[in-house]
Parts: sequence; structure tokens; C-alpha cells
Amino acid sequence: MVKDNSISSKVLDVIIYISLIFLMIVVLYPVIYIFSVSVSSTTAYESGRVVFLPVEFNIQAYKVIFEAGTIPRSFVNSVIYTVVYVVISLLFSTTMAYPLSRAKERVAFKGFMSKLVVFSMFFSAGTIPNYIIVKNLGLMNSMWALILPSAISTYNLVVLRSFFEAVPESLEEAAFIDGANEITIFWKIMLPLSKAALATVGLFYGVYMWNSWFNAMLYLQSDTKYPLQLIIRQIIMQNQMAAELAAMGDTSMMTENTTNTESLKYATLFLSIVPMLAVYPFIQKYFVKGVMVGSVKG
Amino acid sequence: MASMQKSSVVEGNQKKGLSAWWGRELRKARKGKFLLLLMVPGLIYYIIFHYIPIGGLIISFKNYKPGLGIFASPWAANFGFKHFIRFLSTPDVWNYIWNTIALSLLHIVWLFPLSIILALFINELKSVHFKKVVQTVSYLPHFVSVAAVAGMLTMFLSSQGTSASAGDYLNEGIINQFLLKMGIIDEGISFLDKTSWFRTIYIASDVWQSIGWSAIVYIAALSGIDQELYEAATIDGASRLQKMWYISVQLIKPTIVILLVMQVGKIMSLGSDKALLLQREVTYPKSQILSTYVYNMGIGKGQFDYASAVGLFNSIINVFLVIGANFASKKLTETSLW
Repeated sequence: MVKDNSISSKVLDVIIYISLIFLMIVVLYPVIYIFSVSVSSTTAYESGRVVFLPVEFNIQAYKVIFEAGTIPRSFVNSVIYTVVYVVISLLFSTTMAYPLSRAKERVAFKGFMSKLVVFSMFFSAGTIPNYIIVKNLGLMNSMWALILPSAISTYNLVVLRSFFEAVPESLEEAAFIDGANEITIFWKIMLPLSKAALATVGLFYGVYMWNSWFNAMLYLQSDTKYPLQLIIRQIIMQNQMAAELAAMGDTSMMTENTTNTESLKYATLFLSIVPMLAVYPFIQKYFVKGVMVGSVKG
Repeated sequence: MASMQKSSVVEGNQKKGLSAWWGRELRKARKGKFLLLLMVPGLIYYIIFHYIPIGGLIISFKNYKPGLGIFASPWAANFGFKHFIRFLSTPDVWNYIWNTIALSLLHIVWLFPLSIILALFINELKSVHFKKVVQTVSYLPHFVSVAAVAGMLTMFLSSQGTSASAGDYLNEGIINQFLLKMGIIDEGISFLDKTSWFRTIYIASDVWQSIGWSAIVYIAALSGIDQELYEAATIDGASRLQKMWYISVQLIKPTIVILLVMQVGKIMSLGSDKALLLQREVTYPKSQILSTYVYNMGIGKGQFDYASAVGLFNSIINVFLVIGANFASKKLTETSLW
């Protein structure tokens, strides 16, 4: 590329770098601050001395959380829900998306099925009828109330279908000539070829379930089943910390200078985002790919 | 195989009508059942969790008695339209509709230009390494849950109204600590309890969460532009700003238009997730949107029939908006959304 060394070009570079660095600070600062408060002493926080880095470092808040058990339990719940959900939704989505990606001569009722799917994108019954069906199915207060009603996301279905469509037809034709049937083609050719696509869509589903709280609030009544995000909402939004503390049966953090409800809140918040922070740099490239497929073909 | 396919295509073009269609599909099914069987779980899912609930919308026209169930419940007054009449004659409702539209519009007005500018800036970077760092960092908030974002906002903005002279900041969030220390305010402000702050908080956190992610599509579109165009412009004496405007922006215009039209089509379908977490009863005049209204009336107050009517009203408007958006997109860019 031709070099541009004019002053206006240098000024532009300065503006670009400053704004991008500013953006990164704005993105990262809240996360670092949350961590810092969670490991700082109460007195430091209350006197307003925690601004960026931890002051009077201690991990009392995390000790309290792990001894009390509420948050580790909801953490485990979240992991279970996410894993089961990814398996179920991938199963439902793959089996639906694959036939919809094949030529209509091979798939009976394909046109009807795609109309059924597309219509659901435009018109949904909404919160109340969905709530009633879950209740009538007897799914209330069970893990399945979170998993089954969102087993297929039509958006992800479209992404998956586009991936399948991209597999060259000549591959299948060759297999047909060699005497393979539909089952062999699906199982031995298409699935192994779409491992990357399945991983991408599986991650979409996984992140969705890990971060969701609304259905859990609607359908779960016993707090031993709550996922982490719902605990976050409870503790932070409804100021139920006092009740939580009583339930924890631990009064040591009430005493001076150890920790207080504020650092417990911050520690809980940090624990809820740390798994995503840890994995997202590795999975983001799959997401970007999925976004592109979805926006071009969707 | 190929000839078989061809003959069935010809057949398909000749015969029309329901029974012909049924016969044709059945013949296909007899030839190969596997692909049809594969779709059965998905079909059951869509029937149970999409189409039965759509049938359940009949509750909007009934006086719902939980003991009787939807179908046995008596029809509502005014030919079943009682709940719709009540909804449209509630003065606050127009306010809630406006709140929904206002939040969607503000979201578009802020996020659209900002994410395009971000993409343009990232596109101008020469260092591949720095580019990667900026992109990765800017995606981070997209992976943070709405609950956690609402939690952050609640804690950062919280206040018990501590006065500046108190000397300690117990229960004051970071924002209030800062403002008190700087002497900008005399007394902590509990921002989330202030109606006038709701939209600012909602939109600012929206921008924080999605600016990097929304830029992806534009970055991809920009990377597809032929570098020779820039070189030719440079030789013709164009400045970098001119190149950004006349080449980069012009060439990603179709992408911008499609995404904009899609956004406008969703203007009334703002979800309840975030608003529910951020709203307080005192801020309802600004924070109550249609989806949270449905939740608060239905699940909150148990008025399933009324809330379902509100939801149905909203869904019907959404269908028209999306169809209109698709039509507009076809006209403007010759690209249909489906």
C-alpha cells in the first residue's frame, strides 16, 4: 500500500489509537474493579480507597462463599444445565437442520417443515402461553423446564443448515454411486465433516444457557436448583444478602475488618463472569464465524 | 438417481393442489424414510413449544379460570375482546408503547454509528497484533450475562444518600464515591431509582455490551474491499479521511442498510430481560416496556388472560413490522431477509 506521511494522516492515527485504547479501558475497567473490591478489605472499600487495584489484599469473601455452599451449588447447577442443554439442543437441531439442507426430491414434506420453522421466527405466542404449557406439562421446578422449551433456536438451526448446504453435493453423489444409503451418508460423511459447525453451534447454545436467568426465574421454585445467574440476580437485585448470610450461618464476616456484604456481592459477581472470561478468547473465533454465516444466509 | 430426480421434478411442476401434493410427498416418503424420521424430534418440539402455545393464545379472548383450563373457561365480554379494549383504553399503555419504541430507537441511534466508526478505526490499523487485541477485548462484554451487567450497574450506581461531609462511603457505589470525592454532588444519588436516568443507563450499558460485537459484520465487509481501490485513490491524491468516507463507507453501505432495516423491524420486540433487572417500581414511567408489562401483569399479578392479550397485540404488530422491513430491504438493496 502507498505510504501516507502527511500531518493529517498522523493526526488521524493519533485519534484512532487514543479512541481504541479508551474503548479497551472502558471495557476492562469494570471487570478489574469488581475483582479488586472482592479481594480488598472492608475498611478500604468504605473509605473509598479502592479505585483500581486491590487495597489490603485478602480473600476472606471467597472463603465465606465456598464454605457457605449456596454459590458453589448453583455453580454446579449451571454446569449441569449447560452440558445437558448443549447435548439435547445439538441433537434436536442437527436432526432437523440436516434434512432441511438436502434437495427437496430426497426429503418428504421438506417444504412443509421449512414453512413450519420459518413461521415460528415471525410469530411467537409470547411469555404467557409458553408459561402455561410448561406448567401443564408438569415441568415446573425441574431442569427440563429450562432445557426443553428452548431446545431449538431457529437462528442456530439456520446457521447449521447453511453449514450443511456448503458441503459439496458431488461428495454425496459419489457415495450414492458406491452404494451408500442416507443413513451412512449422514453418519459417516456429513457429521464428521461438520464437526467445526457442530462445535460452533454447540458453543452458541452453551453460552446462551450459562448466561440465561429469565426462564429459571419463571419455572424454578426451590433455590437449591437455581443456576448461578439467578443467584446473582437474587443477591444483588433484591438485597437478599442478609437472608443469605443468615442461611450461611457464618457470622465471622460480620466482625470488624474482615469482609462485608459488599465484598461478598462483588466476589459473587466476579465468580459468575470468570468462566466466560476464561474461555471466550478461545471460542470467540467460532462465534465470529457463526455470526457471519447467520448474517449472510439468515 | 439423477434421472429419477429429474422425473419427479417434472411431475412436481405438472400437478398442483393439496391431494396431489400429499400424494407426491408420500411417494417421496416411501422411497426414503430416514430423512423424514430425522425431522420427527424437531417437529414434535415445534408443535409442543411453538404451535400449541399459539393455539393457547385463545386465552386472550377468555375469562381465564385456572381451575377450568383455557378451553373450558368462559368467553370474555365484548365478543371476546374485553382484554384488548381494557388494554387500549388504559392511559399508561401508550406510555409503555412509547417507552418500547424510544429504547429501541435510542439503541439504533447510538449503537449503529458507534459500531461503524469502531469498524472503520479497526480497519485503519496497520499492526495486525494490536488489531487482534482490540477486537478480542471489545468482544468481552458480549459474553458477560445480562444479569451480571445489571448487577454491575446496580452496585456501581448504588447510594444510600451519604452526604459529602460524612467521610466514609459505606454503601456508595464507585460512581457516587467518585462524584462525592470530586465535590460534584453533595449527596449520593441512587441513579437506578431516578426515572430520568433510566434510558441513559440502559443505552450506555447496551453500547458497552454490544459495540464490539456489532462491529464484526462491518469489519468483515471492510476486509473484503479490494485494496487497489485505496491505492488508486492515493495516487489521485485522496486523503485518508476521504478514502474512509468515499471508499470504505460507500462500499459497506448495503450491509449498513440491511442491518438498519432489520433493526427497525424489531423496534417493538424489545425483550424483557434487561429492563426487568434494571427497573424499579418508581421508574415505571420510563422503564415499563410492553414485554415487562406482560410479565408484570401476567406472572406478577396472575392476570394471564389480560397479559396474553397484550402479548398477542404486540406479536401482531411485530409481524407487520418484520414483513415491512423485508419489503423495504428488497426495494433498497435487492436482498431479501429470507
